[in-house]
Amino acid sequence: MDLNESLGILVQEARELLADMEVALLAIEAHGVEPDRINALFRAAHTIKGSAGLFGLDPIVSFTHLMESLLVDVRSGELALEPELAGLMFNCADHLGSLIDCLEAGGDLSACEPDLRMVLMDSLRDYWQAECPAAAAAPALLAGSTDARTWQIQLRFAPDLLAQGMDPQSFLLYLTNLGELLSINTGTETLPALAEMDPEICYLTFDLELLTAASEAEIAATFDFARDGSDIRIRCLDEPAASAVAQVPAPTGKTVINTGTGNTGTSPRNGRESSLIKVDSRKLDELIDAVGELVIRSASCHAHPVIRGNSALAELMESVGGLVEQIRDRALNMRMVPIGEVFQRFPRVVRDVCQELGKRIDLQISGADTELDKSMVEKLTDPLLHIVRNAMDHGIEPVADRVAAGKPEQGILRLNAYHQSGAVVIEISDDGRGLDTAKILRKAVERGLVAPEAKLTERDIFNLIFAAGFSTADQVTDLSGRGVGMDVVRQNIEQLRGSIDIQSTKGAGTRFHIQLPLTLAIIDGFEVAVGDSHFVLPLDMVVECLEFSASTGNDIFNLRGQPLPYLRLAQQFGIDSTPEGRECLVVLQCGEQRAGLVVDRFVGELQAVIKPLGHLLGSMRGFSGSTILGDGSVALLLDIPALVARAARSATQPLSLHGAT
Amino acid sequence: METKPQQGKQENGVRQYLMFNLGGETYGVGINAIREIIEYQGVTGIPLAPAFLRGVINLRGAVVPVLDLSVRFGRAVTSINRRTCIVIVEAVQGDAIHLLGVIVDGVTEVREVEPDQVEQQPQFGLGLRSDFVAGMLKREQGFIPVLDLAAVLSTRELESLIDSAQAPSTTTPSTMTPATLARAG
Repeated sequence: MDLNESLGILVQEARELLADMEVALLAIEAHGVEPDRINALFRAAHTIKGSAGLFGLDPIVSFTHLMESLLVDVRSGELALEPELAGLMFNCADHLGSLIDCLEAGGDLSACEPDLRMVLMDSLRDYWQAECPAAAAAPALLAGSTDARTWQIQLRFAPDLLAQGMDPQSFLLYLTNLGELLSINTGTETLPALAEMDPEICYLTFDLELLTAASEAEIAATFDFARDGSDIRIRCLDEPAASAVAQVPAPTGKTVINTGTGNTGTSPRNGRESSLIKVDSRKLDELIDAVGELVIRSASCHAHPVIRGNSALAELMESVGGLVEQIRDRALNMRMVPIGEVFQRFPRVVRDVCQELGKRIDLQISGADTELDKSMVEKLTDPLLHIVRNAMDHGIEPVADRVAAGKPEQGILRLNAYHQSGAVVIEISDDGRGLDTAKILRKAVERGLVAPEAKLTERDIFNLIFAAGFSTADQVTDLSGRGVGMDVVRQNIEQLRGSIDIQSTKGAGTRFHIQLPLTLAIIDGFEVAVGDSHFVLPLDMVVECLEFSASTGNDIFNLRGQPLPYLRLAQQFGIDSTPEGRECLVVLQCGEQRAGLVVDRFVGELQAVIKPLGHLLGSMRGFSGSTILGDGSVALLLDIPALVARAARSATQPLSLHGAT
Repeated sequence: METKPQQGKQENGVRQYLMFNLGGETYGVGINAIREIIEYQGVTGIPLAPAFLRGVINLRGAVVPVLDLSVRFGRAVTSINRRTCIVIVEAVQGDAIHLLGVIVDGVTEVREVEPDQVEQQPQFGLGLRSDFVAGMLKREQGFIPVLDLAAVLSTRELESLIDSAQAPSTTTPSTMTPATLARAG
């Protein structure tokens, strides 16, 4: 296996585990300690340690080892997971996240936040030693207790144990936490001659005698992570003490935790993994490419005269076409992921901000299973994070203000997502103080964004917060208020071909309404032709289509009495065209402004599967992508905002070179 | 990130080279970086693109840029005829492999060449930038330049050429726009 590829898997797995860890920690904070949650923490630390060990990533191994040691004590109940410790665990998880980021970027792990690591490791050690002097004293204590019994444990580990990143010694060390190891016999019978030995195979077997008060299940749990392929037998040697009889119905019976079936692990992870397959998104794109081509080819088959002349064949083609479209829809559907991937980051953010600002905020999430395109999910995280932070910082008031305003102490922040007529809607609402229109207007005038005498609707005023450099905060906080952001938020959303809208009632709260297309892969397009070149426009920008008649002297069209500036596409692109008959004008809505585009003729609407221009062509201006037309040729997708912006720029230059053909 | 050449490495050092014609001359190129060779058709011109960028084609659902090698060598625009081909080349950039089409006047053969038949490139006298040439193949009639695709198709250089061609207000349409050319083909 390629080492880089394996490292990539490690990074991805570690991120998932850290996310699990965070969920578990939040659940512990909110609803208290439960064994499942502790196990999730332990599993994360343990698995990351194991995988990191495989690659010799010492900073991660030593760090997770401490976390794991502490969690072992938490799991055994010797150490209580108090809020303070949970907070420490949060910080540790964050640091692990940084280490994983550093690993992915190919940086030097030991140079990644070394001071923070020292501090965290010291705190972890403090806990371990202060709260748990039992680490040393426990065996004696346990051995002295009346319930202690002697157990015989036979360990025949799976040959690939080492390859899985586990060390038999760590199991033995863990057992010493349960009680006293009376004897260890290491079996070397299967150890081959040195020349034949494979250093990655575990040849050793162990026979142990353990004196402990722990139950058989507790001892067995030690080996949870080594069950697959291993033969582990645990047997009680002592005559059971009276109290133990009740616990273990067949005290001298053997427990065989076996192997092969692997289903003994009851963790929910197992179930989830079996029903999911991880696929490289590039493979998926290739599949979608191929399917798109199939759709186009089957359409041209359909139009073939031979098939049109034969009704039986035509019927057959019809059904093939239907199936092909189904395949396309399903292939596209595979790119869809639940928005929960983004939402799951927010509980942590809210928790941290609450602590920092001393506010009380209840985060309510709904519609986390609403699906949207994978590539969109990645680009949504930052804008949403920004809005959420703003809502907490500026929107929701401090507790005292809320009480004074007659509101409940705890503010509510609601994240909601749903599908609505072929689009995804995301709403972020709070019950805070709402937007202060007077204040926004005052600031906007101060900054020269609007003229003092301008008459603005409430909606216009709300939209001012998206202007670059705008901030209403009197005080700049760590979180927000620097006036960088809301303009970026709007840009990001518009790049995804979405829109953002604000509703706000003073004193009652604010609601951001984000509407996004379901997928970036397909749009409704409008095909136009200039000369022999075909271009596609996004249909949602097209307002209307008219017959064009040139005015004299300038490039302004009289649209029912309104002036409409227009561009001639042939001129813009230097294409020779001698249109037969009249030219056509497309009226386009581009943000707040309208513009006309003169083309030779309209071809019609189409469903365009968007292909990014990508390599080399990505830097071509004026095009936002390409698509494949019904005849198999490529058409370019026009980037209308860029074209309009360029026309506006060249209009401000003294001498335009356009049209010098 | 640069395009990496994948010269045709064979056991015992024998390499395979694809021979093609361009502007009346023969060139060779190592075969490993070559994905396939297709007939010249269906090239969509890109308005305002520099002349070496002839357009894009649909290669089984993938949109692939097509370059005019002759223009890249600083010569005339390749005219399209019956034998014109597009050689599809794999360009490695980081982890990703991109496909690029290269227009040639016609491909002739794939030759197996012993390593000792490849000579170092001369410093001058090629009529080509010397970094475009990886070596010279000995033949009865003379020498054939072997192209260094990494240099010829250098992503960084091509991108900067595209960028500079798009500098504002230099968009005077020339009579050589790819759109007009594509129609001529």
